[in-house]
Amino acid sequence: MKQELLKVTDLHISFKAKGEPVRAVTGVTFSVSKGETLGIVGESGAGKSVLGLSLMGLLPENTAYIPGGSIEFDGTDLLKLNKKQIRAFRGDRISMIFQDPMTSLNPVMTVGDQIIEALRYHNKEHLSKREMEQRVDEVMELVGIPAHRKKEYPHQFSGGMRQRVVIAIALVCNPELLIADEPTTALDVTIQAQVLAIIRQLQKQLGTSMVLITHDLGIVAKMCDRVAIMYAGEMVEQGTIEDILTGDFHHPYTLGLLGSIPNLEEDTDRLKPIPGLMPPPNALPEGCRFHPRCAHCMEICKHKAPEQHYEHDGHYVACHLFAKEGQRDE
Amino acid sequence: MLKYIIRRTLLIIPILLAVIFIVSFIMELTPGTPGRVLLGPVATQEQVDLLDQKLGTDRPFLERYFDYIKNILLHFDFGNSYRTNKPVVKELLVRFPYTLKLAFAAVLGSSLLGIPIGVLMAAKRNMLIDRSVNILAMVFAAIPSFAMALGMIYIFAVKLEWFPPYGAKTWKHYILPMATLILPASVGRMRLARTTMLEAIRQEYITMARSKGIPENRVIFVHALKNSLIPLITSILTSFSGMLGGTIILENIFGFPGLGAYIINGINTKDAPTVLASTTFLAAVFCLTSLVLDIIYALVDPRVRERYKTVGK
Repeated sequence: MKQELLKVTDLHISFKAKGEPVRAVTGVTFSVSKGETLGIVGESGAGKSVLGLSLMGLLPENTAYIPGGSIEFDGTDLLKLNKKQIRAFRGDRISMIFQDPMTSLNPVMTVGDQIIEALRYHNKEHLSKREMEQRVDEVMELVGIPAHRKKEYPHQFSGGMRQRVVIAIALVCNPELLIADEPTTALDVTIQAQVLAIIRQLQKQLGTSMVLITHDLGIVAKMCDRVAIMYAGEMVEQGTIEDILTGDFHHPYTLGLLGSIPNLEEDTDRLKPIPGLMPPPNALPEGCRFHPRCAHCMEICKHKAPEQHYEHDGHYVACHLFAKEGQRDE
Repeated sequence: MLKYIIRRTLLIIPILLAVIFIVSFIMELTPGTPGRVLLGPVATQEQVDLLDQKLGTDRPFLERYFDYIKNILLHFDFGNSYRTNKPVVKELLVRFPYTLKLAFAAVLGSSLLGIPIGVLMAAKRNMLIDRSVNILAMVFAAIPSFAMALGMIYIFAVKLEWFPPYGAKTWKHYILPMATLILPASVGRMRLARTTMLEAIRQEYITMARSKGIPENRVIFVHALKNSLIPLITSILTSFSGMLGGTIILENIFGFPGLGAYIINGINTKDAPTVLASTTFLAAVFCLTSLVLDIIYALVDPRVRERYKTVGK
């Protein structure tokens, strides 16, 4: 078994609201080994981004809170750290690639200054000023930006180049874990491929683990070793990329997601979307959260949340369909 | 950038010509002649006509306009006041420092007071300090300046006798008018600072900055503040040039010999040279402040700098 770098256990994230708190993430458990890429897939609103931010300790302070669970990074529970302690991890050992490079760079700061910033505050190797500058040059060349452009401002870069800057910022301290929140959603399709290739190459080169948050199964197929499918704040299925894309046992939601991808070999006029919408986190249905949209909905699904009934060599499915006989009709 | 500045400076000239034209035209539209106003209702028509002829105000409007421009351009002569018969430029230069001192102190004071509080409020939004300061701010914003001025005079001049209520002789005379200007202005500045900071803090690059693990102070004061500077600078400079035009009500209440009182006086006596010289002067100051504003924008925001570069070519 590979060494676990990140281990999230039964994590809950809620938002304060008038009346009942809004439960954005409920009881999520997963882990990421060293050098591994875990894809977290789900529709918008499934709680993916909130989950990503929570790993960085970046949930909005005034509104979000974590009622339970643990986030262990290299043996340290990040949730037990104070602000200063978690800041030492952030940007240094764990860093994040944001979704939209048009808004995630500070418009009035040169890209060089933005890249060097994390280095200056962590600087575990006690680099001199010049060495830090050299490191910035290095990392810029690494992501494919000529180093002489570090004196330029974000508006002088194209979208794809900006995302490279964002990647450079995330990588400058050689993090052990990279959280990429839909890193290519805001980019042109042609640029998407380039940026993904850069991320993948650097990740291999540097041995970085990654949590890749996306709703694009195509990206997952290209990038990930393991996949977790999220639905309405829960993880409904987890497994290796082979388990998810080719295995025989699936959560109906996963099947729905796979069914929404056009098949090049068949002649179809319409895609098969999953009927209905994901419930908002303040109006979750009772029982299995997917049951109102599920084609295989049974009586038990309407009032009892399913456990991980299917389990085989790291492949988990939380669905009543896989419950053993006798368990099903309690 | 230099080209841009030169062009903007040259542009001031036509603006001033237009200002002079418009103001003298409006003065022309008001009823009565300067002679009548100066001599009063008891004077005979002959006396009035004689004085108007002497002042030259009986000539056609356009002729006077071009004459006026010519005198300014050739001799830098803005004419003499009809009332005092002294050169208006001299009178203006006596008045202006009072207003300048007051405006400068008010803008500086309100910024130094308002902006840090606003930034602090944004950083601690919805906490006790934010809410209580907000309520206090609302109170100050709601009091009209004349009421505040009278209140100040009553409390600090009449009751406590700390400061003189009237005049502008010593520094003590400045305290009450300044305080009356600074308090409401700093409330405005504070609210603006709070809003623009909150706006900046919501941006994704702030989350991004936090994700680097840098201290929160740096996130707020370097990343967010620099981005919220532009609206703040705009408000500071526009209120500065606004105050230069004189804070008429306050100058009246505090018997302060500033520009505002001077202009109002000129308008009341149909003293065209006074009014024209003052408005031209103020228009020039406005143009210069807005030029300074543009230059500061360019210093703060690289995107603006870029634009000027391409415009200058």
